[in-house]
Amino acid sequence: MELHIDRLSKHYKNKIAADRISLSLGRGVHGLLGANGAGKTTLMRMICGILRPDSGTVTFGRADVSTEEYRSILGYLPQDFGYYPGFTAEDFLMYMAALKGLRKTDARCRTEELLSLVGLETHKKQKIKTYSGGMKQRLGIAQALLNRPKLLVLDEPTAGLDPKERVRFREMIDRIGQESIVLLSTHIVSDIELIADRILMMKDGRLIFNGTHEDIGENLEEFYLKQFDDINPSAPAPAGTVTGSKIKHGGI
Amino acid sequence: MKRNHFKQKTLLTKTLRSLYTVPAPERKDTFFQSSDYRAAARETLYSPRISWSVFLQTQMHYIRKWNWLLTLCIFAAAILLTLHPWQTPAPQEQLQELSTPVILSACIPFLALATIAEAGRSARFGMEELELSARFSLHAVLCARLGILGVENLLLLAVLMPLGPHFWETDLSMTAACILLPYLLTCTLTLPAVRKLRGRDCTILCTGISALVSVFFLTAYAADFLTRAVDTPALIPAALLFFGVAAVLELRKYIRQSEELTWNFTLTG
Repeated sequence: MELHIDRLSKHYKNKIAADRISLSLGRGVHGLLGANGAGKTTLMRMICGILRPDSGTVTFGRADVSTEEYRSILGYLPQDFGYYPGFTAEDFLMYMAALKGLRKTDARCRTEELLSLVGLETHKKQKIKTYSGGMKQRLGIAQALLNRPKLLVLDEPTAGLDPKERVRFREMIDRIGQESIVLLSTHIVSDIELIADRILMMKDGRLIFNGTHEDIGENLEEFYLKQFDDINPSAPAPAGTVTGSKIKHGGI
Repeated sequence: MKRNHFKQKTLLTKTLRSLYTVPAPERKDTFFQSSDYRAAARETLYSPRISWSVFLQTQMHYIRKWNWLLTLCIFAAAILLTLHPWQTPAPQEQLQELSTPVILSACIPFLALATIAEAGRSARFGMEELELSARFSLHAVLCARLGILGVENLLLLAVLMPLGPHFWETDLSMTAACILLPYLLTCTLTLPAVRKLRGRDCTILCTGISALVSVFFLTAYAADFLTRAVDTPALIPAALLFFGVAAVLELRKYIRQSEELTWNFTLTG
């Protein structure tokens, strides 16, 4: 199954947040890089059906983004998320499991499993308001995995995680990427350097690069920084560079 | 002999338990992550999903208890004020200024406020994005909660309505003016506020609106305005119809808005 994004656009008053983005994502980890305000969050929100695009479509197989069928295969971790006061980690996951349509017995089993996976089983009865930023983020990751998503969208998932947790998180995402489509946005290159099978780069609402590590052929961080310098039109563009609506060979 | 054997067996079990330490599972995480387990879990454990009716039941548990409590309090107040012991001459004199339907008309705006506040909880606590991306999305959550509380409120108002002509010596028109009108007016005024504002501002404004409606009905009765309104033919039915339609239209707009995240691009970094 593939995720198809076709000429997706969104603008806010006089600012274009996403400009005719087209791509197809298959199984694996896809790293979305871009500076703050590049349009990463808008794109991810449109992929999750949270924001309606001005034009364009998002489909997974036959399911359109607006359908219940699409949302039932989706796992999403937003950049910021809240929780109802008084919720413990267990309550929060049970609530999210109910929204994701899991039966109570399955939800309880899956909650235990995920709390153990993200290392929060000893804090499961603790109120979320007492959690540190990293613990909250791990809980967010756990809720995204509740329904065993075929499409996992993570917006800045490593924010607030300590180095040890980052390594653990990368291993987990790498494993999930073997079976599902994982789209991970960040502005920290090292987060996706090791695990992403494909790199996507956004600038001013446009997809400026869509390729693999081989297409880049150099240090990702240097390449990423180069994209934000003035582009020299005489210099040869690497494979995967998106020009207009076309991708130079190597893209999808 | 048999009893002795049982004692020995118990002792042996106890001793073994104290001596034997159960080893911690070594490859639990690996097992949970294995593709065999995942496939089996997907096929057998997780394939049946809950239905809409079960979803409604689960949502009922997540509605705050004080919502139910408030309904119960209003109902209890109506019954207590109607009961015989209160009808003795002394309290009756004290309550002459504020008859039962007027006291209720001052409480009912807060019943409407509690229902609207329950609907606006996702936005207030930042759960909107998570709920919008779930299978039963924010739209479904709102419909479920408003549906449950709406039916519950409707039942309460329906139970209170016949009490007027029977026990409070007020005609149906006056009872409707005191019970239905404050509810519909509060809904009509607070729903646009919930649609347009977020967080603390929204809470303060909605509480203020409800308090104003409550005070309005108390003063309207004291100033004889309600009695004169009831005496004007068709005024109360027309007001009920107007605010009823307005409340339904506002509710529709609110539910439609919940299909997409209300977000301002200028808020992004």
